[in-house]
Parts: sequence; C-alpha cells; structure tokens
Amino acid sequence: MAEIITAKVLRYDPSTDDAPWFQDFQVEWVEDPSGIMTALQVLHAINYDQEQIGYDYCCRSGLCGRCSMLIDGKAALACWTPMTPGDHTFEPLPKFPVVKDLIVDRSRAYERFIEANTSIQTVNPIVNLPDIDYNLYWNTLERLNMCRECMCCYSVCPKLQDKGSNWKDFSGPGALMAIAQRYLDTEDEADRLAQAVYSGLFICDQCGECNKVCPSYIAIVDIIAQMQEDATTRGLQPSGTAEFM
Amino acid sequence: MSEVSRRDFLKSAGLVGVGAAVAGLAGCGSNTTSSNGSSEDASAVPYPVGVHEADVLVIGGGIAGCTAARRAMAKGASVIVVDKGLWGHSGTSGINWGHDTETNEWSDDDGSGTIAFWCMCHDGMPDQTFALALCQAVHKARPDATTEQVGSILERTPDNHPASLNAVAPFNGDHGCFPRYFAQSVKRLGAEIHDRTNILDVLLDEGGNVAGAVGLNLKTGEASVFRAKTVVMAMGSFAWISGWNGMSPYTIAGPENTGDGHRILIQKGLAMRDMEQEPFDNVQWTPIGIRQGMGSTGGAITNHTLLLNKNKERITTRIDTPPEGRYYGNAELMRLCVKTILDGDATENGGFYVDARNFADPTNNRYYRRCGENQMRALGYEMPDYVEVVPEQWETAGRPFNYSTTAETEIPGLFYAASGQGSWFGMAFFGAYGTGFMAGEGAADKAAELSAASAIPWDQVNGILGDAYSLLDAEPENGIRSTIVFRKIQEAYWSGLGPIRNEEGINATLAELDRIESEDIPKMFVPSKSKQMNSDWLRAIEAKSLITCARGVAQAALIRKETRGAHCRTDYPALDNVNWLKNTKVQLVDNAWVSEVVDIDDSIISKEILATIIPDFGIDITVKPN
Ligand SMILES: Cc1cc2nc3c(=O)[nH]c(=O)nc-3n(C[C@H](O)[C@H](O)[C@H](O)COP(=O)(O)OP(=O)(O)OC[C@H]3O[C@@H](n4cnc5c(N)ncnc54)[C@H](O)[C@@H]3O)c2cc1C
Ligand code: SF4
Ligand code: SF4
Ligand code: FES
Repeated sequence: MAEIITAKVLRYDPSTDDAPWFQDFQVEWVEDPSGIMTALQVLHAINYDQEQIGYDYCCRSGLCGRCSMLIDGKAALACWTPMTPGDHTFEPLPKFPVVKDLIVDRSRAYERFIEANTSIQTVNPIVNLPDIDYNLYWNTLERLNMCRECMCCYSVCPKLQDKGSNWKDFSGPGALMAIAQRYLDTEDEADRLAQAVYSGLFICDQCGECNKVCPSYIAIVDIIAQMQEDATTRGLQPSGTAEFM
Repeated sequence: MSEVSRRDFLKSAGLVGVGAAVAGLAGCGSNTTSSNGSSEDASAVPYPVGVHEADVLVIGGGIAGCTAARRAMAKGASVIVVDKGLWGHSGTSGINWGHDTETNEWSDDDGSGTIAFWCMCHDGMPDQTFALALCQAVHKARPDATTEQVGSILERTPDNHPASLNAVAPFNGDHGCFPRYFAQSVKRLGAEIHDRTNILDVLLDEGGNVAGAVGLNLKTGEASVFRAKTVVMAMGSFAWISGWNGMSPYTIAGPENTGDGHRILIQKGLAMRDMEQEPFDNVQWTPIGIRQGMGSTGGAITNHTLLLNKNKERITTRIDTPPEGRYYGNAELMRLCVKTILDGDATENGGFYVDARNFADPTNNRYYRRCGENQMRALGYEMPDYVEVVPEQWETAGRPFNYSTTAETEIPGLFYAASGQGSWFGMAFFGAYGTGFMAGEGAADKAAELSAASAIPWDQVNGILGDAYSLLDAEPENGIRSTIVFRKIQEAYWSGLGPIRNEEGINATLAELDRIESEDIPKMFVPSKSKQMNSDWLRAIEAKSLITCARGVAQAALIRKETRGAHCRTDYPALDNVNWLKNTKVQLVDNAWVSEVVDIDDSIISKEILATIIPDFGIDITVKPN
C-alpha cells in the first residue's frame, strides 16, 4: 500500500471562523526521481485534489521567501522542506496576524527593512561600479543580497514578542542584516554602525535562533557580534535599555 | 450597508502614504440601483468600493512597474502601485533572486549604437523606431548603476572587478540584481502601494482615454477603484499558462503571471504583435523542490556550452555549419534544443543534461556556483555531475502592436511596460527596465499636462465588479471547481503551443479551448464563498485571461508559417529571412479574431542587411550524426 502523509493544517479564515482549528488531510506520499517530496507539494496535493487551503508561494524553489511557515514547529520555506511519510503539522509563521490559514501579514517586519534603507548613501553619484574585495563580496555581501525577506528570523527571535515594545526598539535580525550589508560594503558612506545601534543592535543577545532558520545561510549572529564589537570599540554601546512608549 | 461595516470599510479604504492624493468612498448606502447608472453616478454600484486617486497609476510591481513608478515619482507625479501578489515578491521579478543585468550605459554613444545588436539578437523582429527609443532610454536610465544604488551588490570576480568591467560596449552584463530592492525603494519614495490587489480591468472615459482601473483587494474581497490621469500597465507575462508538471506549470514565471494585462488590451480591441514568441529556458527537473523555479541549476540556455544531449554531447558542437562570423544567441539555441528533441536525442524527461562538474568554480556566474551547496543544505540532495534540465517557458515576447516611442498604447494615457522582445534573447531585464523607464516618464509627462483625471465611469465599474462577484456566487449544477478548469486550460495550451508546434496541434488546442469554453466554463464554480484570500475565486477570474492569451498565441502561431525565435513549427521547419522578416498581428474585432502578417519596420537597418546577419537556421538544420 502506498505510504501516507498525514498533514495537520492549522486553518483560520478570520472572516468566517471564530478561532483557528486543526484539520487533518491524508496525502499520498509521491516521491520524485530524487526520492524527495516537499512540504509545498503536500500543500499543492491538498489544495488541488481535496479542498482549497490558504498558503502562499511564488517561485517553488527556495528563492522568493513567500512560502515561509511553521512545519513541524520549525520556521522554514515549504518548498525547501523535504518530507517523510507520517505525521506533519503546518502552522502559520508566528508573531504575524493570520490572513488565511498559512498566510500571514508580515508587513510589520517588512517595514523594518524599509526603514533600514539599503539605498546606498554616497556623497558622489555612482559613476562606475567600483572594485570590491572578492572575499567580502562572495562570502558575505552575496549572502546578504540573497536574504529572502522570508521573516523566519523574526518569527523565532526571542527579543521580538508577539506583543511588546521590542518591535519598536529593535529592527530585528533581517533588517539588521540589511544595515550590515551597507556597513560592510565599501561604497556606502553613511554611519551605518550608529544606525545599527539605534536600530537595537545591542538588544540582541546572540542567542542564535535566527541563524538556525535562515534559508539564505546568512551568518546573522557572527555579523551582529562583529557590529556589536565595533560599536563598543567606538564607544557606541548604550549603557542600558530603557522602555519608552 | 450597516453602520459597523461602513465604518470598518472607511478604515480599510483610508488614506495612506505620501503619494496618495485622495481616498474616499463610493457606492455605500445603496442597494437599489439600476445597472445602467450614468457615468457620474457612484450609487449605481451596489458593492462597497474604495476610491483612490493619483496622477499616475502603475499596475504591477515587478522590475517594469517599479522602474515606471520610480521614474514617474522622480518627475514629480503622485503614484499608486497595485500588485496582485505580495509586494516585492511577485510575478517573475519576485522569483528573480539575482538577475543577470544587461546594459548599454557604459557605451559612448547615446544608445543608438546598440540597436543593430538588439535587432540581430531578436531575429530581425524589433520595431526599429521603438527599439531605438528603448536603447536610448536604457542608456539614460543606467540600470547597472541604479541596481547598485538601490541595494544590490552586483557580482565581483576573483580579481575584485565587476563582471562588465564598466567596459565601453554596445551591451554589457553584470550578475546579481535583486528586484526586491527596487520594490523597497518604491515604498521608501512614498508611492501608495496596494498589494494583494487584483486589477480586473482598465477604465476608459467616453472619449476613449484611460480613466483608471478597478480591482479587488484579495485580502478582503472588497473592490477598489483607482482613478488616475495616466496608467502604466506593467503586469508581466502570461507564462503561467504553460502546462502542468506535477508541481507547477512548465514555467519559471510566477503564479501571478496569468496574462491579465494582455487580456485587457485584447478585449479593448488592441492589436498585438508577435504573440507566438514565448522563449523557453531549460531548468532542473529534479528534485522537485527546485523544479521549474530555477532555485538552483537552470538558465542553462544562456550558458550554452554546458548544454548536452542524452549522449552527453554538446548540442552546439553538433551543428554541421556553425553560423561563423554571425551572432549566435538564445533564439538559435532554443531552435537547437527543439531540433535535439525532435531527433530523439533528448534525455529521459524530454530535456538535456548540464555539465555541472565545475559549477562551483569562481570563474562561473554566481548564479550557478552555490547550486550544489544549496541543494545539499536545503534538501539533502547531492547534485550529480550531469544535471537533467527540461524546457519551460520563461517569458512572453508579445506586446501591443502599435506602441509609441514614449511607451504609450493606442489608448490615450495607457502606457505599457514589459520585458517583451528582450526575453527572446535573455535580455528581459533590459526590456522591462527600459520600457518601465519610458512608460514612467511618458505617463508622468502626460499627467502633468492634464488638469484632472477623467471622471470614474461607474457603469463600467458596475459591470466589471458584477462579473467578478457573480463568479464567486455561481452555483451551477454538476459544477467543476475553478482551479480544475484553470488547469485544463494550462494542459490544453501546452499540448499544442509548447516549444514544438504544428498546425494540427495548434488546432487541437483551439478545439479543446472551444470545448472548455462551451462545456466547462458555464459549470465553473468556487466552493468556498469566503472573500478572504480565496484562491479558487482568483483562478475563476483569471481563467478568462488564460483563454484569451491562449487564443491570441494560437492565432499568431498559425499564421507564422516558418520557424523563428522560439516559435518552432515542425510543418515549417525553415527560418526564412527572405520572405519572413515580418511581424504577426492579431486582434479581436467584434468577438472574432483577425490575424495578418505585416512587414517589419526596417527604417534604420534594412531588411537586406538584416538577412545577412541573422543566423538562418530553423529546426531543419543538419546536425552531425552521433
Ligand atoms: C528565476 C528567473 C531568472 C531570470 N533571470 C533573468 C536574467 O538573468 N536576466 C534577464 O534579463 N531576465 C531574467 N529573467 C526574466 C526577468 O526576471 C523578467 O522578464 C522580468 O522580471 C519581468 O519583469 P516585469 O516587471 O515585466 O514582470 P513581472 O515581474 O512578472 O511583474 C508583473 C507584476 O504584475 C503583477 N500583476 C499581474 N497581474 C496583475 C493584476 N491583474 N493586477 C495587479 N497586478 C498584477 C504581478 O503580481 C507582478 O508583480 C528571469 C526570470 C526568472 C523567473
Ligand atoms: S541572535 Fe539576536 S537577532 Fe538572532 S534570534 Fe537571537 S536575539 Fe534575535
Ligand atoms: S535574514 Fe534569513 S531568515 Fe531573516 S528574512 Fe532574510 S532570509 Fe529570511
Ligand atoms: S515558494 Fe518561493 S521560497 Fe518557497
């Protein structure tokens, strides 16, 4: 008999449901020639062959960052999560309001990226593309470019609570990486280190949760640690954190 | 409408952002109206409608739309951008995590030196008057410098230089442009952004000028009317039409790319040019987590030396008579791929191998280098030395037939921006960015001349919304779920209009479309009546776009009785530069398709010269025996 995946999907349509509820779906395990079936495929199988469920995707190949959700309790991209036969749970990414089922509104994290302002700040306009040290480019900047804005890191960061003011004081790991990109590159002339500090650099205690879920394999903790050290050297470390309203 | 919902609605339609001019409400408080309300009469519409106004409305937030929005704002216009998907993550641009850029910005001339190359790469097909304006616009718009300006850091080679070396040449390429930074920039510049909002149609005033557009907020199901002096249509391709492979269509485009823009233009009676041209690429077939999305290997066609047949022979070295001294580009490679398939030399799943043995080498384009690493980390999959890739459509080269040098369509005030012909040669970015710049500038200039936007034609709004809501409400007997009908259209399309075509196959596709329209569409229904992110409802609405685009492509494909670009016909396998330097033109007139072939515009480079520089092989080329 064919092997089965039992997908426990957290469903919630705020326009019709009083509260979120779990629904079980049985999906046949169909592996591809590499022996892989992904979580996105499981969701497709439910959505096309059984009934409509809310989930978001675009690229189906680990690029666009739209399919982020909690799979078996872990923040991940559905299209880049290989499944095994058996039981699995699918829940929306925590800390964001649910739009429908597995789709959340991630705008409060996206706003932090906007505030980070990755547009290059230079006194002179860019005339030519300047040289950049290859190792810096390939091992750091290229990975920062690749951030999917998937917001997985926001969903796990213990310093950002569901409710609470840290969303105001702390830009969060993703936006700090956007600032870091400009701090580390050699073209930007703004004081990006100070910006990182004002964005809550020292609120991070380097717990490492964000690193574990980042699909772009950005060395978030190392980069934050380096910026914290540089800021301390420059005397930019705040003497404490205050709760402002 | 009750007080409570009216208040909630006011909140949701509230004024946002610096770019906003007016936001208001219409249509509330009346359920008893005739459907023929006059143009000025908002109460004709029995649905809650939020009204938003700006100088320029941009529909679509990909590379083309973001560039148009940035240009229009730079010229002082207030701008609204509407996108069907998640802002910065939608359509083809939303997938494109690391474009190759193409530019002529380092070139000495103003762009006029670029046009010969552009015509050559596109098998002689460009409308030369427009192509010149495009090349000049890109030269001025500086895509590479702007890409770095807004956020991306383009690839630097092991000797620390950018790939292009900023070299003076008609065309240059760099690697690693991330459209998400353009999207961020548009938001930062203060455009009023409405994402997850599906534009249903463009509105015209009594004089036939553009008046705005009407859409549905997919998060609430509520209607929005966007009133603007000018509109830029930048809604991407219709590549989502292509078949179904068990995971997704045979395309690398996004699920938003259902050709709504093309459908709107066609329904408004505009003639379309070269709709048969749908370039394909070859993309990794397995593991399924990266199939057809180019998460990893792929783009093989642009690096043709890597493309091998089932016997692991380079397909390019199998040509008996290489087009020596001539440009040898993507279009020729697409034809060679088709030839290889027709010869029975394709791999098990109908494609090719890519030699990936030295992918990680620092001399390779960044695109390929972390494929193996990513596949291992994300999926535990060890990439083999030879990776199987299969053809799938990646863009749409068709465009409005008549298109001014300011990117305006025949509808006054309606501008159009898309990669168009650029995709033919793998220079989609050049096309999308350049037309976006032209359209943004044209739309802002024209808006500046107009004292006010046209009044909202409420009767049109009413009709359009009535159609959309009735799709949600329909309860036909023996109903077929919309998502299933949608997939049947995709399958019908791919069977006759995929990369290998002939008259019989195209007609079979048309016959199946007829059947779907007469039998399935009347039974199409949406099981859930929720208005909130109801994907079945969206698919029901989009089905019309798929069918219209499929028919347009079929008409164009039928009349191009030769092989050219990505259009390969087994019944007309030759590429004929003597008789076929022609564009196809298809148009829906009084509900009937009219199609014809028209001589190219060769006002700058003559047909005779073109015929000598375009590689003249179709899928009839002789290849060396194995
Ligand atoms: C993986 C990948 C790699 C690529 N690599 C390259 C490359 O290296 N070089 C190159 O030149 N090109 C490349 N391309 C192609 C290039 O990315 C596209 O041609 C380009 O992004 C198209 O931009 P666009 O703005 O015209 O369309 P899109 O990016 O598709 O934007 C259209 C937008 O319109 C929205 N929309 C559609 N319908 C509606 C509606 N009804 N209402 C509201 N909004 C709507 C969509 O949501 C979407 O955001 C690649 C494409 C992919 C997928
Ligand atoms: S390392 Fe810092 S940013 Fe990352 S999850 Fe922990 S506290 Fe948050
Ligand atoms: S830093 Fe990583 S986890 Fe965070 S948003 Fe970017 S890609 Fe996602
Ligand atoms: S669908 Fe794009 S990352 Fe999963």
